[in-house]
This record gives sequence, structure tokens and C-alpha cells, in this order.
Amino acid sequence: MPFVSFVSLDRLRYEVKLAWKPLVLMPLLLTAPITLLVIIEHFTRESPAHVLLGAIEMLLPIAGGVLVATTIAQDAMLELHLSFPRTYQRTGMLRLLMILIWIALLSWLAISGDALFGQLALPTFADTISPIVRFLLIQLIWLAPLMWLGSVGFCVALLVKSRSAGGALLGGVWLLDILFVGNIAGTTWLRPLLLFPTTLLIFPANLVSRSYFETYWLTTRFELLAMALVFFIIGRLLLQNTESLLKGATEE
Amino acid sequence: MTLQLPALWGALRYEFRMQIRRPTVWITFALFTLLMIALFQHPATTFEETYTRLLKQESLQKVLADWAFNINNYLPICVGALLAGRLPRDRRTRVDELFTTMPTTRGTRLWGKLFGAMLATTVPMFLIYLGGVCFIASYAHNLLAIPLAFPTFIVVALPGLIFISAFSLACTAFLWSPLYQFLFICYWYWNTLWFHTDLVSLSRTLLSPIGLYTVMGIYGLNESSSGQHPIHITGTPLQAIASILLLIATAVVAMLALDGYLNWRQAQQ
Repeated sequence: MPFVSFVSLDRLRYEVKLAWKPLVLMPLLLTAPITLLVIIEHFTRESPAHVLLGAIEMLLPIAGGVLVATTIAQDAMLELHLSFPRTYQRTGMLRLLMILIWIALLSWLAISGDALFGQLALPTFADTISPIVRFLLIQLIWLAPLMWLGSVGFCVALLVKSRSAGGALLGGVWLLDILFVGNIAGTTWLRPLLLFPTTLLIFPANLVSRSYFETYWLTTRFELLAMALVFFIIGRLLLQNTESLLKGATEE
Repeated sequence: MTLQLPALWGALRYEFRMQIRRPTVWITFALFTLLMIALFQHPATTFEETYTRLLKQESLQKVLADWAFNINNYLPICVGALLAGRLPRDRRTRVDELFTTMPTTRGTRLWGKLFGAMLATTVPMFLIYLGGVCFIASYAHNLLAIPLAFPTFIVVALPGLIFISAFSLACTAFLWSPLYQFLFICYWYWNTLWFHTDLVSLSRTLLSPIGLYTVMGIYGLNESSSGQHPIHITGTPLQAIASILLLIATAVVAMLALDGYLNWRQAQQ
């Protein structure tokens, strides 16, 4: 289905009008403590580049994930919407895409600024690869965790049908992934769950070897994207059963 | 804020039943625990390896305190996040206006909501804790672990749970609950589990809700108990009591502020 027929501009404007507050507020609320952190870190031993990278790789994706998890399965007008010719499935997909595109745009802007001001270190062997591949590699820093957390948030929201439970689960996964990064990296079967290796494992990237980079970063990025695709498909199937969402609205 | 005991008991029972019957509470804890079990599969950090080693070196009471402390490091994330939806629910389902017609004060209802919802959300957490206690009792060949586990949980975990539950109710009166959840998770990482000294945080203070000073001051756990990452903090019994009192007092202040804020908002309408 082409995107133009999937959504009209009026429809998109309406959805933005509905959701602009959380969409704008959440990234803004993120920016304030990050700016503070960069200033504080300036006086401590951590580098500002590390903090900025952490914000792009770790904070923006979880903001996107929590927004998805708390938006998709709940709608005050859900019962009314189910009587419309336009299916809730399409509305849900539109909201999902809107959140992910918005966070992706913010992440792309932030990482581009980071690279522009020379705050983004790449492995030394990346100097020899083509600029397009290098550009794509850089985007994988935020794209893989964003897609994974977004798709998991999508599935969790539709499975548990509760805003608070969706947020709790996603936040828990995010926190445990940070705290247990050593365990995850050290256990082969858990390694595909390595969400934030750029900040937590390979920083500064110019000091890591090619094999280390490929094992802990490159392979895991593609594994995360593959898992995200599976979760999106599952979520899309779950979204077809819109009547079950009504049960969630009363259960909350 | 005047309290009426029968109304408080009624509100507590109602909130407890409502929360404990929500399947999402149980699903959240079950998935979170499964994830934690998976993450602890590293040979050096499995439950069995850690606690059989600890039982050889430390007393049973100390081992139980360590287990309660470990549980209290992670599972309150679920408690705080799940309680974030309780107060907005009253507003969304429009029962808050109905409640104001009842012959009881808002403060009484709020305290009932706090204790009822918190206790119900703590039940799955306590059962997970109890599961670990049963394993510890079998490793130690000592059934005394089970009666000892109850006061240990109350002393180590409950003050922190009251603290975060009060804030989960109070903050969602003026914050969008998903936003509160996000900020709460960031707070939990930075202000409870971040022990580095190079960045200002509440994690090394008496306001740490994970029971840091309690396990050190009352149960005698020391910095080596934190395994591979010693945190270089020591606690005295006096600090432990001060930490418990401070956490509860802060929760009371948050609840009083919530009551005041809701009264002010109603007066504005």
C-alpha cells in the first residue's frame, strides 16, 4: 500500500495535533538533563562525546519505545472508532510510524551534529570504506535500538493492553540491558540482546579491533533489526484483533 | 488531612482487590523475572553459585538480607511503573468526582489507595523473593530462613516501596503517566543504581530506596557484598534507622503535597 493512499495530509495533521505534546515534550525533557550532564561531565573525567552518544543511542530509542508502548493500545474513542469504515489497524500503524519517524529524525539530527563537531569516533578501519557505507554504519547506532525497542513496545502494548505495564516492561528491559551489559556480552546466546554496545562496550570506537567490532557491534545490530522485523509482523497481526483492545481499556 | 479508619480500610481493600486482580501486574512481574533469570545465566553470577558461596562465608540472616537487597535493586521498577496508572485512572473513568460525594476525606482515600495498590503490587515481588528464600533454605538445610525472611523483607524493602509508591501517585497528578514512567526509570538508574562518585546522585545518600544503609547498618553487609563492583560505602545502625525514617517521612510529605494539590485544583474548577 503506498504511503500517500495510506494516509491523507489532513489525517496526519489531526494525529500530530492529538499527539504533539508527548512527542515534543519527551525529547525536550530528555535534552534538558543531557545538556546538564554534558556541562557536569565537562568538569569530570567522562568525555562529553560519551554522554552525547549515550543520549542518542540509549535515551532517544527508549523514549520512542515508551511512546509506542503507551499510545498504540489505548484510545479514549476506541469504541467509536471501531464503528468507522477506517480500521483502527490503519490508525494504529499511522501512529506507530509517526512516533518512529519523529524519533528517527531527532536521532539523525543529533548524530549528524555529533559527527559534524568531531565528537563521533569510528573504528580506524572505517577510514577505508566508502562514505555511503560509513554514513549507514553511523545510522545503525540509533536505528537498531530504536527499531527493537519500538517493535517490542508495539507487541507488549498489544499483548498486555495496559499503558502502565507496557511502560514498566520496556523500561525494565532497557535498564537491565544497561546494568547487565557485561553478562549479555559474555554469554553467546544472549548477545543479540546487546542494545547499546556503542556507548557501553566499544567507546571510544577508534581503539577497538575489527573482529571485536564485528562480534559485539555489527553482527548484533543486524540481529536486532531482524528481531525488530519479526516483532513488527507479530504486532501487525495482533493489531488486527482490535475488539480485544476494548477489554484492555476497561481492565486498566 | 484527617484520617477516618473505617473509610481508610475500605479504600485499602478496594484498591488492593482491584490491583491484585489485574493480569498485567502478574504478567509484568513474570516477564521481568524471566528476563532477570536469563541475564543471571553467566556462570559467575547464577543464583545457585552466588548463594551457595555466600552461605559458606556469611550467616543465614546476612544472606537473606543480601537476597532482599538484590530483589529490591530491580523489582521496585515494576512497582513504581505499575502504580503510575492508578491516580490517572480515577480521572479517566470519572470516578474521582463521584468519590467527592462520599462521606470521607480525600486524604483518607489517597492513603487507602497508596497502601492498597502498593501492597497488591508488592505481592508478586514478595512471592519472587519467597521463591529465592526457599532455595536459600534448601541450600542452607535450615527452615529458619522462612520465618526470618518476613521481617527482613519488611525492614529492607518496605520503606523504599512506600517512598516510590507515594511518588508514583503524587507525580502522576500533574505528569502524563508514560512520561512519569520514563522519568522514574531514568531516576532509578541514576539515583539508585549509579554508584560512581564522579556524578551527583542520591544513590549514596540516606534517600536511597533500595535499602543500602539498612542492609549495611542493621544486617552488617559490607562493601565486599556487592561482588565484582565494590561501592565503598559503610553504614551504621543509626544511619540505617535514619534512612528508613527519612524515606517514610518523604513519602508522607509527598502524599500531603498531593492532597493539597488536588484540593487546590478542585478549588480552581
